[in-house]
Amino acid sequence: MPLNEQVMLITGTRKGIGKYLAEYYTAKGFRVIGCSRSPADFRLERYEHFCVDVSDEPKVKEVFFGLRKKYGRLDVLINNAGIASMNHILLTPVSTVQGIFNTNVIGTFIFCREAAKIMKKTGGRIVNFSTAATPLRLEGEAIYASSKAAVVSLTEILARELADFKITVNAVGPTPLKTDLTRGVPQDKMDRLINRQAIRRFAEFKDVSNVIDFFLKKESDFVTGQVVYLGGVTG
Amino acid sequence: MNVKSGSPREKVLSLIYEALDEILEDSDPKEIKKSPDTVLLGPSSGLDSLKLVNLIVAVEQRVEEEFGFPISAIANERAMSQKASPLRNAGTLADFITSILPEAKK
Repeated sequence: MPLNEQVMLITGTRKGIGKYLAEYYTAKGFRVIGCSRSPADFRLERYEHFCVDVSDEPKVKEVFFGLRKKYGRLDVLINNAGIASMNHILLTPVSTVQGIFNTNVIGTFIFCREAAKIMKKTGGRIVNFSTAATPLRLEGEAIYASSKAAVVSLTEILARELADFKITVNAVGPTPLKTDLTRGVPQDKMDRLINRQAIRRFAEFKDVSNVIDFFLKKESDFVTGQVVYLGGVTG
Repeated sequence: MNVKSGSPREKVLSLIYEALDEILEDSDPKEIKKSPDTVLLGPSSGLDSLKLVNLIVAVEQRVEEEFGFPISAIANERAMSQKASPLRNAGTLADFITSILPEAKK
């Protein structure tokens, strides 16, 4: 690996925005380590895939142990892995709540903690994923939006705890994208949701990578603890 | 990798001493007397909270490299539930880490 090649870890890269980000950042010259619960059905130059459940602490620690041994550095972590479930609270089983919090909150927490241990010598950038569903207080998204509210708090506090190590921690809050997470949502509901945005259209993958690019810029070393929502949604 | 000789506890203890040297490299004083009784926690330790965090991570990474598998040196239920913190001194930290090695190896 070239000495100046930056190492990036992205969670949830098997499909959707995670796969896009793996393609986008390998094309930009990053060495990308991706992960998901099942194997990836694509191959990319400068890309390596691990099968791991992000909330499985011992397995995640093994991934980081291997990463540190092989590359000795980690420059960027993108905590993209996330699950959603639209349901009225009266119809939501606890197992759904646990599943969503395990992936979205505990997974993000474990990856932030382990990444920071490697990044703390040279600094680094962590980007978490929130959602416009949190500030919009979307009905039917109580658990998903709550889990992402936890990610916002985590982002804001880790930004302070990790500032001394020159690690910035920020989050991007996408509005609906055409991915598996929104596929099951009825069209009229989606239209109403998009009408609450300042700019009324579906988000595109490039809107997300644009915000991440900003957080990763060398000049953004004074930007931390921020959540940038797309489409003019405000927190 | 520098393979240490001696019992696992002795190996861990020498890794703790190396980690202490590393985190005190840029500070004043650069060295503290290293023995199993070296205090790690509290005002008499000479380590502020950030140095203590750095020390634990440095120890964890050294132990992982030496033994060849990941461990949780302190973000660990057993460490949190102990009445007396394993961080009291270098010796108690070495005892604690040595005690979790068999489970971590599995």
